[in-house]
Amino acid sequence: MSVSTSKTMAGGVGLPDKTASANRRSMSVNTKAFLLFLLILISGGAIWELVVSLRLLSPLIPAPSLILSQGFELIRDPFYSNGVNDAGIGIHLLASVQRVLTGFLLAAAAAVPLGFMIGMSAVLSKAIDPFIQVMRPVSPLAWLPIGLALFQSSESTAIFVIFISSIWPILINAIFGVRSIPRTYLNVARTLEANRWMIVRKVYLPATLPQIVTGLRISLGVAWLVIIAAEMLIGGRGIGYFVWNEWNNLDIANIIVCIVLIGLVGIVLDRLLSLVEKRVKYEH
Amino acid sequence: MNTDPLLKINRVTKSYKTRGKVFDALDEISLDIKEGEFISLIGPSGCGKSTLLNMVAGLEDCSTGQIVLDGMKIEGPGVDRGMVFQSHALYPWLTVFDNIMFALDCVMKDASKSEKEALANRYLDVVKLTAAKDKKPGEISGGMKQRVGIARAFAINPKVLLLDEPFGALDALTRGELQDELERIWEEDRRTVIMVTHDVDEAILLSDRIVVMGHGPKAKVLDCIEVDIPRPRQKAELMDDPRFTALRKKLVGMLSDESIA
Repeated sequence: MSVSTSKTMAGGVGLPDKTASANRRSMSVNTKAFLLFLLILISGGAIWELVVSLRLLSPLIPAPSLILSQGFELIRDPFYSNGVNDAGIGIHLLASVQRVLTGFLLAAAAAVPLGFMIGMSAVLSKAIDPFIQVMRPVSPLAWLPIGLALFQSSESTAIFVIFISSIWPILINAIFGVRSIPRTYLNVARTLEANRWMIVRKVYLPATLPQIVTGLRISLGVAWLVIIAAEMLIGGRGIGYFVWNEWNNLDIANIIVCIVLIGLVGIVLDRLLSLVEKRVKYEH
Repeated sequence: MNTDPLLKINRVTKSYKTRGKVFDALDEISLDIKEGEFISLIGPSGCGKSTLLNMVAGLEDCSTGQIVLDGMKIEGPGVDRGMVFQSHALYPWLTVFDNIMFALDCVMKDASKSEKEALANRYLDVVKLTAAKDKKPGEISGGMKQRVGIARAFAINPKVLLLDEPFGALDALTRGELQDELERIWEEDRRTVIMVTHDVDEAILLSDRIVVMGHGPKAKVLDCIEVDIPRPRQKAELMDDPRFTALRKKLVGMLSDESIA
């Protein structure tokens, strides 16, 4: 993440080439960006530390030093488990990741074939569109009571909410991908009398795969956002629940550690799909 | 050789309905094409020459009239016609080799894999692309892509080859090169070809007969001109041939009259 961001930033604010090449001793953009990153991190932390020690903030807000030591304590033994209510942060994170992946994979399994079917028919695409348009902007959390009513189980409800939040981007991208396949690709297959199955497998699928994977990537991002809130409401196990529990304990330091960890896991999930994305991409 | 035409275009018309209005693109086009003949369709842009080719390909329906290939009425696309598209129409996610294999897999359902691979390799060799066989279309030049398109159309061994402005998107140098190449490939097995083009030189170089179409709507066939220049032809030599110059003058004259009219 940081590398690609610094590259983009460099593209935007980079110095003229001749300055860089004329001054041989000057550091590369990446090095500069990294040093600046450290500077912001350390000076930000120092200011924070100072502000807390001067008691300028709410007494609940912990100093960075406390966060660091508690953070170390949290991740020292992440997978311990002393029963339902006392488990390491790794176990909570894994529970959340597992829910997200389950809901996400179910959504993908449903939305990709559905998107193909809808996309291959102009009538169906138009008919389904209003439903998608209305459902898409709704926060998946609004579906939580529906999930509880349907399943009467908090675990299934969490997966259901993730399913709902994942399905729209995948569905929309699959439909759009199929609809935007160049006419000639299909004409080639038609002139070769390729059968329907061959066309789906050898033309539609590889042609739309980049768009589908982009949809999957967006979905997974949204799902990871949503799971935290969903678990706060549902309870049990999971990083969202853990955060809420720490609020009840008024342990803000642990919450901040969790925020960082949630971000890091989010990056890992996103990176994984971006690798897939690179593999299926093709150039015209 | 059989004297019956291989392909018979019989009083074919094409009308479109757009916003309730009927637009007549083609008006009773009739054309007989013998086996082994190389025909060019030439005419001002928008005259419906590509539409006519698409109708032979079966990608578009005739509004009235019919097209008969080897005794069978054309009702849709089929593997007895091989199409080379202007936009090369290769699948960008497949390698050059696999693009040709895709066509062979569709067409030769009963053939063994090694048989098909041998065919694909042979036609890659014909278009001199053996070295690039494992490249993706995005990694090769426009001229090379079009060579793959040609190899793909030849490989499925169709009764008729349909070329839709095959070199239209190429730069002049590459175009000239590929025109000579197509002439060379064609000489080898004298396939029946219908080529749509707007390039007069290209039409003369390659064709036995040039079908000149008038402007639309209701485009008609204005004239069929025999090209009586002996083969094999070479573009560079052709330029000094008085028959070429005369034909060229005649065609350019007809076409510019049509564009103004």
